[in-house]
Amino acid sequence: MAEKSKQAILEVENLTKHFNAGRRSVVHAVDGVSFQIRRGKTFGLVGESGCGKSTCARTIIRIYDLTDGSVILDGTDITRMSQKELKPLRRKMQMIFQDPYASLNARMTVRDIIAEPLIAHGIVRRKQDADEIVADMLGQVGLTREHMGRYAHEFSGGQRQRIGIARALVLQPDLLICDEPISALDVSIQAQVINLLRDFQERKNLSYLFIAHDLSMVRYVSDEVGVMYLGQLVERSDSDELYAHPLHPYTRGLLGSIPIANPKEARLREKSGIEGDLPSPINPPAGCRFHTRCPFAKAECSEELPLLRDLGGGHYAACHLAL
Amino acid sequence: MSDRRMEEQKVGEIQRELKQRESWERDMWDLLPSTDEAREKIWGRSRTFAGDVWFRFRRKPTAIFGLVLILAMVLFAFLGPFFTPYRYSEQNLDLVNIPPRMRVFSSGDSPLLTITESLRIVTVNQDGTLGRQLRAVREEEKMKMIIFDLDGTEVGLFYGVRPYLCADPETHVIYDQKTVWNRSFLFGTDSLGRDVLTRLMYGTRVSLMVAFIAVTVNLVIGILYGGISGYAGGMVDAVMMRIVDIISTIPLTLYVILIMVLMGSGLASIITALGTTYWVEMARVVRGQVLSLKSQDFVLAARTIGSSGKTILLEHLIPNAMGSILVTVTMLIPSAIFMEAFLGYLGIGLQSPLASLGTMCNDATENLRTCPYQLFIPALMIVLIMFGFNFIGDGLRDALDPKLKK
Repeated sequence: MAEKSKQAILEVENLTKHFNAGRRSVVHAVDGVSFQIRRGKTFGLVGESGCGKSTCARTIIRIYDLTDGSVILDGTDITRMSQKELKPLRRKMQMIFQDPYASLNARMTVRDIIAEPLIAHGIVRRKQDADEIVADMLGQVGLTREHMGRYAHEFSGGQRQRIGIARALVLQPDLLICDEPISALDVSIQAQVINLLRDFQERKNLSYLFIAHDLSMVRYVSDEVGVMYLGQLVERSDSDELYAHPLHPYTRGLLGSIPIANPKEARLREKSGIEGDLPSPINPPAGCRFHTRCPFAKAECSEELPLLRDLGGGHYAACHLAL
Repeated sequence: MSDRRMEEQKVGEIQRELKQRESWERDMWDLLPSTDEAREKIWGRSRTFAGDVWFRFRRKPTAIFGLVLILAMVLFAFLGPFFTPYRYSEQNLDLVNIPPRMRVFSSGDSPLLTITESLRIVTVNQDGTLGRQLRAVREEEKMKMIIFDLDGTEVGLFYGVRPYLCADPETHVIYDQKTVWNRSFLFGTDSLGRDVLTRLMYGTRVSLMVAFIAVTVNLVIGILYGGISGYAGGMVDAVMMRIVDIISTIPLTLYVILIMVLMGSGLASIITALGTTYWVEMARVVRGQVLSLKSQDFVLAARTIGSSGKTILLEHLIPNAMGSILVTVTMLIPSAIFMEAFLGYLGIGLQSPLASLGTMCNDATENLRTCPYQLFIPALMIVLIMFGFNFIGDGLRDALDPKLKK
């Protein structure tokens, strides 16, 4: 266990986040999610919209307080830390956001945006002193010194996302949480941003928690992948293993929904069996949460909650039927 | 010969043009050389937020009109008093209620004469300035006439009808009448013989000062109070907003009267009253804005960075709420000005001899029937000031709304 701690940059254990939604109704946004991220590796988190991926990320970085469970960052338990105690640790863990338009303050220049973390952590005293660091950081994300005096609205989506990355990386964190960093971008720009992230990973031994709903992109970037459904992790495995041998019916359904460019191949593929909408997280179904939409559901599925169990070779799945 | 040459020249020109157009059309479809650097370059001119707002603001004629109007008012109120020979409190009981447009009488060769409301005759020079006052010799009660002495000839003031007339006491012939502009007192004098123009300048000054105080109070207290309330949320927010509710339920007039009991009447009590209550509207607006802004991604980003609450409030939330703040301020200014004028009109504002637009209106109501200009002029001023600020507020609202960006 001690060795594992050394290896893992982030350990999430039984992470639970509930929101109160009015009188006596509780949104079970995230329910008992556990995973580790090894140093220098990427953990991909996938699932359809509303399954709790973003809440998971925001709870880990403590924008939200945990309802239950623990988050251990680089050997330090940050679960119950106050925001004040947490501040020095924020240098180790940064986040980039989904919407590059909303995540940059429209009233600030690029210089101010990237210098803000430096000032917050006392690395520089005044904004003017940060110029060299900011210019260097801009160079690393493919922008130039001339962009420093510009406002965010003058940039394209891809450029903005790179500014967001520069802001997150200027503190030289060990772990970067990417909350759907590419889903708001054009396809041609997506590759640009992904390659930039990979480039940083190689150079600085960064670890990523990569959240997406685009499975093909997750496969490309991740070493390990977790699949979430309605606030729970239903399958977790090595990336290649998961794509080659999906065990959970939900994962299979997801993989079946990846578009294939070649229509001949697409015709051969079995159809995705998932229909209907995500049930409400206020009243999640009893038993296996997926049983309402699962094509293979049996009686026991609606009675007993399947636990995530090792089905060999570090491949975990939470399904009564998976072998 | 020359015709042919001209024709040849013309044909040559057309051919050249066609060739040029052809090559241009061919080039148009060629790809321009493209480099990574060129792709990253921002070709548009850099415009700051303020520059952007000004660009849109100045394209709206009414907004510019409002701005010019207010600037003119400021000059009028603060530089104007240097150019008038009178003081706002200077009384001249000989020349009361003289209108800006005077009725003058003349009997051929005699100088122009005008009659004041206090039954006196004053000579008027050819350029419209007032001259000397004539000396009353006697009163003929039967004829309802007062006889004045004009360099040896007698002039009669007939007060049997309104408006009064000048007539020859011997022949009872009414003198020729005409109207001339008053050059000594451009806007006339009030019931105590004070120059209305000078008083108007001081009154405008008071109004603008009230506007300035309202702005300052709004910006400082309103923004900070609303910002803290919205950002803190929860219990703090609930308590702070209930305090705002309580303050806003007290009628301002009652409040001013209570303060005047304590502090005595005058500008100080009006400013105190405005200062302690006039920020509630702004606090509400800012709180609403902050509430909606604080869940946006860029604020979450600032929190994950580790920025302090102060930084988030002052550098992220309030600058982004600045649009609604400015609009609210420009809309609150007219209401503050109007409130001051209203209090002045009720007689619980400034006290004589100090001039404010409200007290001028109040003074004018006494002789509204004979001298309507005394009410009309300060009332028009109030209207113009409020127009000006409303136009500016309107223009700012459009200029600050990025959704209307053209």
